[in-house]
Amino acid sequence: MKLAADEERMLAGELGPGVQRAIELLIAVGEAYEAEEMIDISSSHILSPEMQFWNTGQLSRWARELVAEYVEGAETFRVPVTINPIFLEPKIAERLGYPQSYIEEMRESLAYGMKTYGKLGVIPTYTCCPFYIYPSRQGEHLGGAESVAVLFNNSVFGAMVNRESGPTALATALTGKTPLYGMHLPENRHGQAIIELKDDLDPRTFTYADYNALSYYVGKMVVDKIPIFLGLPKNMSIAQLKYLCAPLGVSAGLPMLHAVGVTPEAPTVEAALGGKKAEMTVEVGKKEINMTFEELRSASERVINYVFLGCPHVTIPEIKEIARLLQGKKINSDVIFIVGTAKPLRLLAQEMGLVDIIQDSGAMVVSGMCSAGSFLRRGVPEGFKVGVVATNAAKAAHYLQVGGVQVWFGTMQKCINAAIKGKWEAA
Amino acid sequence: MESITLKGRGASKGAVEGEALVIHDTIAFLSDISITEGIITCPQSKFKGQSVSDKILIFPTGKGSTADPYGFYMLKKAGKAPKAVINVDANPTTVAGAIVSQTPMVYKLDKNPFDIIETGDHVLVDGNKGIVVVTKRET
Repeated sequence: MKLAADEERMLAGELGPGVQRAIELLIAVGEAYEAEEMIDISSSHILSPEMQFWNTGQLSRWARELVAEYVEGAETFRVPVTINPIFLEPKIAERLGYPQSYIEEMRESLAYGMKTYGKLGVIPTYTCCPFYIYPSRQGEHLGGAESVAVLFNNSVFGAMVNRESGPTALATALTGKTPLYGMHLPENRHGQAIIELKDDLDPRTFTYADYNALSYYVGKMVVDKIPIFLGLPKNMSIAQLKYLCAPLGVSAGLPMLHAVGVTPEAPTVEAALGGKKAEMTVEVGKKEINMTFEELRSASERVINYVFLGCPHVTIPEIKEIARLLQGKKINSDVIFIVGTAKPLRLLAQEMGLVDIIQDSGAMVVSGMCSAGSFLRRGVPEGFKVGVVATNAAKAAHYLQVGGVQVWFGTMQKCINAAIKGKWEAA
Repeated sequence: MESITLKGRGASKGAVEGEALVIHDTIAFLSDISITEGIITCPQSKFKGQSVSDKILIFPTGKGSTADPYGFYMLKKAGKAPKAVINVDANPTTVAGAIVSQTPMVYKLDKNPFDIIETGDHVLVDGNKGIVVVTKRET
């Protein structure tokens, strides 16, 4: 790989051993993709293993050791850097009845992460949707991980970013560089699969859960081909686009989609295809959507213990809708109902009086936490029974299901009804 | 004993030798292998229950999530990682995992490793030079 002068200095260890390891890692990964050079990025988004994945026990200590190796000697991140959520707030862990020793360990791991990344100048976003706070623009090269952030940045803003891994995301933040491959090259960003909606579907009436099911189903069909969605409303909201993006990241692992008329590189289907012929066409109708709703359900017990909304983190219009549906109601005392969002959005929603309405019902609005999924799969104390979960998010439903948790998947309205009644109803 | 040398690309440095374990599945370290025990746990895999620890692990390519390299790293810290990895094509998450866990890795060999290497063969992996030396198991 051809290196610029500043990259050579990093490789020689002139910026410390951590930055040296970081650039070595990026070079090796770049070479696996046959990248010929590095490019400068304008921002990055990191995820922290000791805050988001393992914050107790030996695994958390090992995660911290890994981070320590890479930040060794670094004084600052070289570009603006945002960060993914932590997996569980200690105060929520208390409410769940987790053991005190466990909560103490969590606090220690979180304190390590906040101090380490804080010193390097991280913007403490703690959200999977950093684009709410730090948007990008067309043609901008970014570094970083988190599949929904990658999908949204590529597909909605037209920025250029690969689906990187946790360690390489940190390496891009420490170096301000990423190898030039994949989504950073315009010719790799065209779509290959056409997605058509059958006549029995009217996207103007889609719920968020419908967008989730559509995206999840399409991911399974296209596998590694970038999909081009036809016939979706040009005025899709940020929340709808977020749910169009997120499930594709778990059912296919793709970094990008095209929505014709919305994605900057897809004013027309021809432009999205880049002058080539489509390699496949997928038709989606009511039958496929219904089948996907069923596939995302893994629960059989109707009594539920948790309701999660906010995977990915909810927008203010969603918070408003949740507040409207919960106004004057009380959720079942056996149910823990969590609405997850990013800190600035929660603050604004509070100012709007929405947080009070939701919390008066017994539900919680939390910020900075991977509310719908992470914490019920990993790091649950031994002997702790998770129970049955309801959500309107395919990404959460998928991961919970993989983790062996019983999940009901349905609309926001249905999840809220379940929270109030304490059970998931058939109709 | 006759040996066969394959030339490819080194993804992660270091040279080790050991016994081959040939797996025909694509592997995600974080979700298909118990990261504290080194046992393949993927229910669909016919290799379920086998240990990757201290083996020269040969599989077609990785399919990891963005957190997958952490899984490889945890395996190493737990003392249950493979000694080295040989892939046909390298998924960048596997490359990142091999590097952060300081495990030699070679890929893009001049011959298909699945045609040459069988489980039980003695294999040397040199990630510095990007070579693999196979000594067939005596039958």
